[in-house]
Formats: sequence, structure tokens, C-alpha cells
Amino acid sequence: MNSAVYTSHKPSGLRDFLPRLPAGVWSLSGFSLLWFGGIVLPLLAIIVVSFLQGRGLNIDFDPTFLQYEKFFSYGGGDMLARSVRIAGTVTLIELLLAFPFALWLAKGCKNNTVRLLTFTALTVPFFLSPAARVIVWRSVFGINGAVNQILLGTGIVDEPVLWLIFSEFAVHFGFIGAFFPTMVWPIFLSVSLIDNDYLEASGDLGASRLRTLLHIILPLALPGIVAGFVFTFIPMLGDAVVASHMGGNNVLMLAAQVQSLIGVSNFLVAAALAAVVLAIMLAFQVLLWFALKPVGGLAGVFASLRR
Amino acid sequence: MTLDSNTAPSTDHSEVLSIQHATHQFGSLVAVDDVSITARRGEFLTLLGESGSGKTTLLRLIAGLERPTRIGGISIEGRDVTLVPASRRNCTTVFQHYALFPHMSVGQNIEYGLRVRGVSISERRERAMEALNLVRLPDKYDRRVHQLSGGERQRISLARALVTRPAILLLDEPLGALDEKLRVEMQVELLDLHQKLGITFIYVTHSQEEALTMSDRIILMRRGKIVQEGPPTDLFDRPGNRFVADFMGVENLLAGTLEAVTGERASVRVGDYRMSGIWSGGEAPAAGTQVCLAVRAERVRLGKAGGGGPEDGVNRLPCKSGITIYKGKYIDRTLDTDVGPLTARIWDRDADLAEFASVWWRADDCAVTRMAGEGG
Amino acid sequence: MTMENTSQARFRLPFWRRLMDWAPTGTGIIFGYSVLFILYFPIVMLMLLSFSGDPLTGIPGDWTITWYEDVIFADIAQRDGEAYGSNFRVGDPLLLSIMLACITAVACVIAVLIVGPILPRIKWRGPFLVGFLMPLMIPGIIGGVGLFMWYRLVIDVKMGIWSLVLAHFVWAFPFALLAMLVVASRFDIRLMEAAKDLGAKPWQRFWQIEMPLLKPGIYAAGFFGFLLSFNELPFSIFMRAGQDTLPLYLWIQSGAHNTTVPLIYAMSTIITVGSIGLTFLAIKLAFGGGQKNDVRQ
Repeated sequence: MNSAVYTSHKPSGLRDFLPRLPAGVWSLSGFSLLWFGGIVLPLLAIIVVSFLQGRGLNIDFDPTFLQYEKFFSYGGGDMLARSVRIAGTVTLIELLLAFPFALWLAKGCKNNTVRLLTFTALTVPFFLSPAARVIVWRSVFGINGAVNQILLGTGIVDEPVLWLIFSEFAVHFGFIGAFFPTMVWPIFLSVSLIDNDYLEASGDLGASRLRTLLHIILPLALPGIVAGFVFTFIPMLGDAVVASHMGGNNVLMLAAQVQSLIGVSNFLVAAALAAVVLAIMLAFQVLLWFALKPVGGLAGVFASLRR
Repeated sequence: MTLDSNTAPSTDHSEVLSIQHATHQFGSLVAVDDVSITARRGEFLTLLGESGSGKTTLLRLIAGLERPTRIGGISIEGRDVTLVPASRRNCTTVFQHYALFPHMSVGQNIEYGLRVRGVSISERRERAMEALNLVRLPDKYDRRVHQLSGGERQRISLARALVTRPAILLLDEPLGALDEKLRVEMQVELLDLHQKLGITFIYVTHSQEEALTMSDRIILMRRGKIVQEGPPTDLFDRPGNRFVADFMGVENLLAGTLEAVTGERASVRVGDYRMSGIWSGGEAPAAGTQVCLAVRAERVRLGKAGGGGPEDGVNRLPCKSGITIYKGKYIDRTLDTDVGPLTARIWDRDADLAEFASVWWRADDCAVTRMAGEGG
Repeated sequence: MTMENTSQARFRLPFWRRLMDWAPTGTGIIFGYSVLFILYFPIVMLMLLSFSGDPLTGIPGDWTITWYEDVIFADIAQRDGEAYGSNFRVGDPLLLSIMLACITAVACVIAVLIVGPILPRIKWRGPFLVGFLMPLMIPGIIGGVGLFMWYRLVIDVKMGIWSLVLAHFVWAFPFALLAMLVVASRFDIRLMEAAKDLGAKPWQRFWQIEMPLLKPGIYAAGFFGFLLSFNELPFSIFMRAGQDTLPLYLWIQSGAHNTTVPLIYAMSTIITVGSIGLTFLAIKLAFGGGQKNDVRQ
């Protein structure tokens, strides 16, 4: 072999190979830059904006709590409390309803057709217009609506029931249906990742089904439960469509108010409002991050899909 | 029939591969540590070692699938390929889990290498059928990958790698996923193919039996370094150190002190006994060094009482019987001696004594070697 | 001693025991499907009422397709400059929505092809993933406010079609990415190595090996992008300018006069049925490959 080939390379300390990044990484970097700069940043900027003051489109870059004062004097505190209360209550109800269902779906349901149909039923609503899903309730629950007609007709009540629509009841009711899938899916995923061997071992060692549930299933499904809670609570808090349709002007919810504030060009108070909501959401996102750590975070969930 | 497009097989012993001073690290883990190997045309070379020994990494360096952290140079067929990417090196790999493309038929899989080289459709088909015939699956051309059994997939994977007529075929533990019977059959087939084609095979395995069966030359690696290389008989009968002896399946390894090495012979003090054997540890160390005496269970026989020292050409020890394990074709007997337990493997039932008091073997049948060596 | 006396007794637990055993499962089933009923009831009702004579009562019956006729003719009439009973014009918003949905679908597919295959392989997947999925965590209204304020107030750029495209993309991308990641994380990188080993150049590897195997993800991303954009409402409320998208138009109309309510039902039924149909098609294309394309070996 010609030694000429080797003399140009020293045996040690040689790096012929520059870090050549594949094209994919470059385009990923480019896209990420655009994404984080053009989208994530603005979203977080709301918080900054809320500390500004001005009128209409004129901004005064002078930090102040003015907007927040206006917000609270506006009755914003009540609105905030109401929104959190309603969203929190409904989310908890959703959790209680969704957990047994998800558990059954993951571990109890053997029939493949039923499973598939149920999956479809839980997926399709994401792709439908949010408004289309709730506008009918107004007619059904209205004074002359179907429910009232049945109640009157059968003589259960003498007068039409008024609190069916444009009331807190209506808002709760509207939320329950609309946000059910977002609660079911994460719980379902994390329960189905629980190895059946664990459940069998638990029974084999003498645990009753209740104990298996408490000591084995719940802890292992916890990331999914927290994820479900977060993915349901946050959108619910930020929802304006269902809230305004079902609550009308009787039940003022935060996000709907933001919308109307923007409508009257009162941007800065809207920003304060939005910032408050955003802060709550970010707090929950942090909570979610902590809850997902045991399973290796979001990335870990996808890694476990390889199994 | 040959798929080799260059010279005739096996008569040309020129060097087809040369790697000099390759080092590869994954982070702080050194997988390959300053390794240099060469391979001749038509040779069946095996890289042998346990997991983590660096054998697969070395193979990937040859293929070009990894770029070494440091390298003196790599050349294939005399051409420097250090900076040449894997797609342009004249070698192909048979992967451990086959890596057959699931969205293509068998025929399309096999033709893929030709397709990316711009070979015409008719020629591709012809050569693919040729390759299918070679691996004896001529009617599978239109099948889909998931319809094949494990053994069939392995052979398709082989056909795919061979159809491009590479100078070197790299095989990464190809038989690992097969069951025992199939594995043995495939070993014979691979050997047969190798004979027919005259291509250089570089084969990675952790099974010393496979290495012994198939190789012209074995390179045993441990923790990124080469421990011993040579023809199978060398590693089998003349292990360079205790690790090699152990890896190659020597059942009885006794620790002793070296007394002297004269010519081929070494005399050793094992416990209270003097023994002798063939020295295979390379350069002889000073007297008094700890050495290892290695003797295979097949060579160990049962005897009546009595002496017999190294002068008779026999090493003998008094012993008591231990556990006996029936293995069908043979019987393994563990004997308790002063220097530790010894295993005797008895193939001939008639040679199995009911009453015995000693265990012995011929001095020529055992090797004396270093305790540790490089990489050990 | 003979065995005749042993009879085969059927092993049956007492009734209440069986009920207790079934209860946990039963609760789950009852809860789940009840809520699903609540979820789908308005959708089904919507369809029924859109064919009913007096939809405002909320009672279906008196079947007619007059509302659908109204929707179509109202638009055509007004296009011709004629007056019609209601001024419900659905044509322009519909076209805008379709156009936006197509753009979003294409953008999602491209973006997902850039991000999807690489993300499972790089070191800092966690933070990237969180960043890309952020819109899931920040619902429409708030996100819309944020983006609007940033671009309009801070950077001082007027809203336009571009802002709608941006909003729709932001909304749809996380879903599209999730769908692609499901496919991409099962992709065996050794297949790419094998292709390289056999002599394929980088672009050949991408087109001949990677793309075909990621096809389900691509379909999913495209369909998700289209559907989510078409039906998107919260973001659009803030990021619009001049022209309205279809959901936006219907939303505004539903806050207005009662006379247009039946027309809203009719139009909404059309888009709902269309969306459901497309969703089925998407699922079939994306996940119907079956074993043939199973990437794992």
C-alpha cells in the first residue's frame, strides 16, 4: 500500500470532518426562528403590553398598573373569579366523568368496532365549527323551545323555565359536552400505556380491584390526568364562543369580555384582561411540565409510542 | 457464477481494505481505540467480541455510516475513501434487522441499489433475478416484505447487498434474529456463497462458534481494542491471554506462576503441582509472573490414582467427583481438586470410569498464556 | 365408589355480586356515552332542524328544504343585484374560507415535513416541542388578542389576508405536527442508513424512502390543516380585515336577527356534514395503510 496515502494524515488529533449539518437541521432552525419570533414572542408580549397605557392606538411606553386598576374597577375581579370558578367546576366534573370512561375504553373494552367508533366520535368534534356545535341549544332551551314545550305539555311546570338558557346552568352545560374529548384523550393514552402485567401482578398479590385502582392505576395514570385537566381547563378559561352563546349577557366570562373590549378599541384593558388569563394558563403549563417529568416529558410520550 | 465484476476470485490476494489508526468516540465513550486492520480480497474476516467491544462500530466505520473521530486513513481497493461518503464506497451492508424497505416489494428492494445507480430497468430486473436465484428464493420477486419469514428476509437482505457487486460485503450479526436450526443452515449457505462469489466478507458476531465455523481469519476485540487476530486455530488452540481463552470457550482456566519457558514449552507451578503446556502468550515474561493454564474439557480425562508429572508429558491431579450433567451427546463432569473445580467432557461412554481418583491431560493439549494483555 | 353423584353445577355468583362486579365498568360506560350524547345532540339536532319548518322552536318536524334553497338563492340573487328576503350572502365568505383552508393545508404539510422527521432525533426535543405546541395551550381568543396587539400595536402592521393565514396556521400547526409525530416517531432510521449504504444520495433517500413512509402523516397534516382552518373562529375574530371567513360570517349573523337563524342552521349543517365526511376520509387515508406500510420490522 502506498504510504503516500497516509503521510498526509497524522494518526492522532486529526479532524478532517467539519460538523456538516444535514439540510434538515438548517430548515428546522429557520422555521423555528420564524415560529418563536413571530408567534411565541408576540403571545408572551401581551403581558408586556398590559403594563402600558395610552388611548386607542396610541401607546405610551411607560410601565404602569393603570390597566389593571381599570380592570378591577370594571368589575373585572368578579369576572375573573366567576370564570375561574365555572371553568374549574366543569373541569372537575369532566374529570370525574371522563376517568371511568377512559379507563374502560383503555382496559375494559374488547370489541374493536366499538373502540374505533368511539375514537372517531371523540375526534370528529375537533374539526367542527365551535359555533355550530352550540347554537342549537338556544332554540332547544329557549322559552318556546323543545324542552319547555315538553315540560309544559306534560304539566310538570306551569310556566316556561327561564334558567335553561342564558344562565350559569347553560354555560356549565355547554362546556361539559364541548370539552369532554380533550379530557378523555390524555387519560385514555396514559392508562393504555399501563402494562397489563402490573394489573395482574397486583391482583395476584392480593389487592382488591379498588386497591389496584388506588395504588397502581391512579399513580401511573397521573400524568394523563394532569394533562387532561390542563388541556381542558385552559381552553375553557379562554373560551368565548360557548360562553357567550350560552350565557349571553347574564353571565359575563373573561374571554368573551376581552372580545368585546377589543370591539370598542379598548385595547389596553383588554390586554390586562388577557394577561391575567395568560398568567393563569402559564402557571398551569408549568404544572403540566412537572407532571409529565416522570414519563420523560412530552418527548417521552412519543418515544413510548415506538414500543 | 460470480457477481464479482473485477478479477477472478481467490487467486488475487491483494489488499482490498486497509484501515489505519481508527478511533471513534461517542461523547466520552471510546468505542474504537486506535485500531488498524487489513483485509485481503476473497477473505472471510470475522470481527468477534462481546457487546460494547467496538466490532459493530468498526464495521460502520468501514461502511462509511459513521465518520471516525480520528483516523489515519481508510482505503478500499487501493483507493483512499476517508472522505468518501457511504453511498459512494464500494461496499454494502447486511443489517442485523435486515432494514428491508416496507413500502417496496422484494424485487424493488433488491433493485434499489441498482436503481440509484441509474441501471436500466431491464438490466435491473435481470440482475435482481440472478441474485434471487443465488439465495434460492426465485419466486419471491413480487412479494411484500411483511409476507416473508425471518429466514427469507435475511436472504433477501443478502441479495439486495450483493446485487450491486461490491468489493466488500459487510455483515452485522445477520444470523442473530434467527432460531438455532435456521442459523446453522444459514451459516452453511453463507459459506457456500462466499466460495462461489469470491467477494471479501467482513462478518461481525459475538458467537465464537460462528466465528470458528466460517472465518478465514478472526479479529477478537474487547473494549475497542484488538486482543488477538489470526486464523481460527490460533485463537482456539493458542489463546494469547486468559480473556481470549475464556471467550473462546475454554472451560478450565487455572492460575499459576511461570517457572520457565523453553522453546515452545512452558512449565508452571499451579498450587502444589508442577505442570507444563504450550506457551502461547507471545513474548515470554519473567519467571515468577502470574500466568494462566488453559485446558479444554474435552481433553481432560479421568484416571486411577497415581502420579504422573510433567516429565511424562502428562499433567495429573487427584480429584473427587462433583456434579454430573447429562447432555445427551456427552457428559460434563465437574471434579473437585486442590486447585479448584475442573470440568471434564466425556464423549465416549466407555471412557467414563465409575471409580476414579485423578484427572489428567496431556501437556501438549493445554496452553499456558498471559493473565491479561492489551484490552484485557 | 362411582362418580355419578357429582353433577355439573353452573358457577353463578349471586345477582348482587354480579352487579357489583359490573358496576365500575358500567359507570364508565354510562358516564362516557351520556356526555357523548350531550356533545352530539346539538349536532344532530342542527341537522334535523335545518330541514324543519319552524326551527326556532327547537322541535324538528314539518320537513322542508326551503332553508337550503334560501341560502343558495339569497347569494345568487344578491350577486345579480336583486333584492331578496334576507341579505344572507354566503358565497364570498365560503370562497375565502376555502382559499384560506387550502393555503393553511399546504403550509402545514411543508412545515410538518421540516419539523416532523427531525424532531424525534435531536437533543432538545422537549423545549422545541413545547414551543411548537404552545397554541394548544393558549386558546383562540387570548392568542388572537396577543398576535393582534403585537402586529397591530407594537409593530404597526395592518391586518389583512396575511394575518388570517398566520392565525389559521398557528392554530392548525400543532395538531398537524402531533399527527406527523405519531408517524415519524415510528420511523426506523436504519432504513435511511440502508439506503445510504446501497448508494442513494441524500435527495434520493428523502424522496424514495422517507416521503413514502411518512405519507400517512402528510395526509393527516394536510387534512387537519384544511379542516381546522376552515372551521376556525376565535383567532379569526381578531385577525381579520375587511372580508369575513365563513365561520366568522355565521357567527356575526347568529348574533343578529332571528330571521336568519334557520339559514344559519342550514349552512352550518352543510359545513358540519362536509367536515365529518372529510374527517373520515382523512382518517382512512392517513391510517388505512395497515400492515403493508408498517415501518417497524
